Amino acid sequence: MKQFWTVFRFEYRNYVKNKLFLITTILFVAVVGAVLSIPRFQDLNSRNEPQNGESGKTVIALVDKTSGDAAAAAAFFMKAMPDTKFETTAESESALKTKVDNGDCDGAVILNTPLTYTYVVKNIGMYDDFSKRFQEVLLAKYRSDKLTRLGVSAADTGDILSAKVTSETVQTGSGKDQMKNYYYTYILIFALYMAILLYGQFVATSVATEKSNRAMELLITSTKPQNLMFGKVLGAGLAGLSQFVLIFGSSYLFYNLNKDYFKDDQVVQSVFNMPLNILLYAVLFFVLGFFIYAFLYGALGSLVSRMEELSNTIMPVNMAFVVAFMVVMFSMNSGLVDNTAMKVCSFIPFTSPMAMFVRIAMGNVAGWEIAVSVAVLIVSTVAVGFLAAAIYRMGVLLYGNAPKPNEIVKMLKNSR
Amino acid sequence: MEFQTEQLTKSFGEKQVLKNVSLHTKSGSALGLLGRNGAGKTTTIRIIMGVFPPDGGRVLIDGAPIQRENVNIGYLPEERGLYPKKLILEQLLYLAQLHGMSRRDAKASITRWLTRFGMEEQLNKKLDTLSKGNQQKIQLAATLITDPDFVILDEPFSGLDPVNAMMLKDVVKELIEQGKVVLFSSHQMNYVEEFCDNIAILNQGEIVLSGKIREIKRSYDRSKIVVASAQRDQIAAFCRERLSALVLKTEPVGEELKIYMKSPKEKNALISALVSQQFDLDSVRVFEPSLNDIFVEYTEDAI
Repeated sequence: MKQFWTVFRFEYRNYVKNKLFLITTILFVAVVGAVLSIPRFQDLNSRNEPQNGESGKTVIALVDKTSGDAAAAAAFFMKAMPDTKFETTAESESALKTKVDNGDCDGAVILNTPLTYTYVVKNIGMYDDFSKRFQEVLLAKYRSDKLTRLGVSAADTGDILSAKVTSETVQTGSGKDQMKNYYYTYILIFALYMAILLYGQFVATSVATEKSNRAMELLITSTKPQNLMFGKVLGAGLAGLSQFVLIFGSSYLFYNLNKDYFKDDQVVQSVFNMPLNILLYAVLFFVLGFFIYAFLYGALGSLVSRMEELSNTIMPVNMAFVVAFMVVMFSMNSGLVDNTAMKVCSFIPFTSPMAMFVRIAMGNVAGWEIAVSVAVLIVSTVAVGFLAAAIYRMGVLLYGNAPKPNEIVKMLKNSR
Repeated sequence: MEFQTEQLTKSFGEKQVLKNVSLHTKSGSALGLLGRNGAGKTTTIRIIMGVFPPDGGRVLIDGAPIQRENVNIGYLPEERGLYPKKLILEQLLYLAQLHGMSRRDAKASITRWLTRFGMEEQLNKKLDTLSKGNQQKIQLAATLITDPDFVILDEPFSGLDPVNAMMLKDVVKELIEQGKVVLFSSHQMNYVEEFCDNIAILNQGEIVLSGKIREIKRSYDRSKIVVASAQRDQIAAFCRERLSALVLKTEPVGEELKIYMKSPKEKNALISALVSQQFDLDSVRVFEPSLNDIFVEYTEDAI
């Protein structure tokens, strides 16, 4: 046990004293801090900017072919779309195209009939919703005109058209608001994904390095392989956890500093106000998922003789993990987090850290299901840990080509 | 402490690497495990260290199967291995602590050994900034900082210059004087001859010769006499012409003359004949094969 702590301390210090580790952590904290402070500065900017009426508005040339009152139409539209200035004109379509092309106006609308129009524009931007908004406005104008013609008073027309339905959704206690949960679940799953891939590689690299520089022979003759394997993996785990605590802790701090500016931001609100039990589940699955993969990576690292072979050897695990991640992500995006694939995945040790966590956060899971999943995961993690130590013990003196899985099984049997 | 291996056998796949290797040594003496490349020296040592188990046979300490956690073993592996990118002090501390030393004791011991090796300045450098020979000294320090009772050195001299080799020899002699068990492997016979009482020559996984160097040498045919004299050629002529009853032939070897007698019993007769002729003799001795000669003789047929 004393030797385990020696290995653990040594490994942990290696990570923490590593410059790359320090730099990435500081960088992450800085970026998170900056991002969470953006609204504060945006707010300051918009307060300082003088509001001049005309500039900043979108200018649209309007050609009314419906024999109606073009000026009245323009006025109606401008009232409905205050950020847009409609300028009436009678130019031909080709003339308008040139005008738009030259940038004399941002776009042009040719009203062909009360319900059809041609929209002339140079670039259609990603977030150009003019057409969509204009359709609504045009429909409103059509209805209003029609109602007026039918003898409905202007006031009534206004009432009718501006009538709105309001509703309130009441949730039963046991359900989940997937929309709200989605964001923090996404962030946590993504963090888990990154942590496993990154630290898994670290563990594999560390083992492979010891093997390639032959420090291994001294180490395994100094202590039990279990001490080395568990010390290594737990050291990496604590290093990863320290990093995440720093990053998440500082983001929580920055959020609290800028809390007032995020009042209307659903996403940020949901992320920083996630329920405590979800956070605890996240930590639990994080730790277990991290360790089961780290052990696996450590075992694989001990099978290669040279660093160059490492990426090939850990590829299958990487692939399987990415597939699991995809399944979980697709299920999250589809909203059906309790589908069959997810149900199966949430009991398989290597996929359950992600799948079961998503189901807890966004779906409906019975308590016993969580208990079974966690129990299976804990048992498998410990089992994989001891198996990894055995593979490590055997792999450390194996030089030459990395053995195939069936050969590993054979050697493990023989070494008993 | 008494150390022993009993009939060790080991195969890797189809190839039998060790065939019934039995070794024996005790506190205060050094056992040299000699053999050509691939003879099985490192495999034997790795089995002793428990890196892998033997297929058959046992490793014994004081007659009982070895409990490696209870014996303080210092091990210098053939493939030197430490962390090239880490500070020397840091990794030596780590290894010492793995062996159960306290941080403070370890630090004192590290400083002592590195000072002994003239390397105390390098404590806070990275290992890979040192030359190969100096890295080797660090490796040796790693072996000795825990003050082991049993020291196993696999090819300790490879990569050392003559001055460093001398230093290592002194260290090993000291270890022997302190009553440690020293086991080492080598194929550099001159070093072995200097401080080893016992040797075991391994050839293709088998011990072909073992015992005290002195006894092995005495067991050789003692019918050759080496005479050192300024009158080498006159002596040769005298032997040829006047002593043909005793001497088969003579052979100049460097400044000396090797005289082949018909029987080892003629030694005194030959010497008195030479003395009575008033030859100017610097030394007369019975020819003994060097360890090198013995080694070559026993391992020549190896692949």
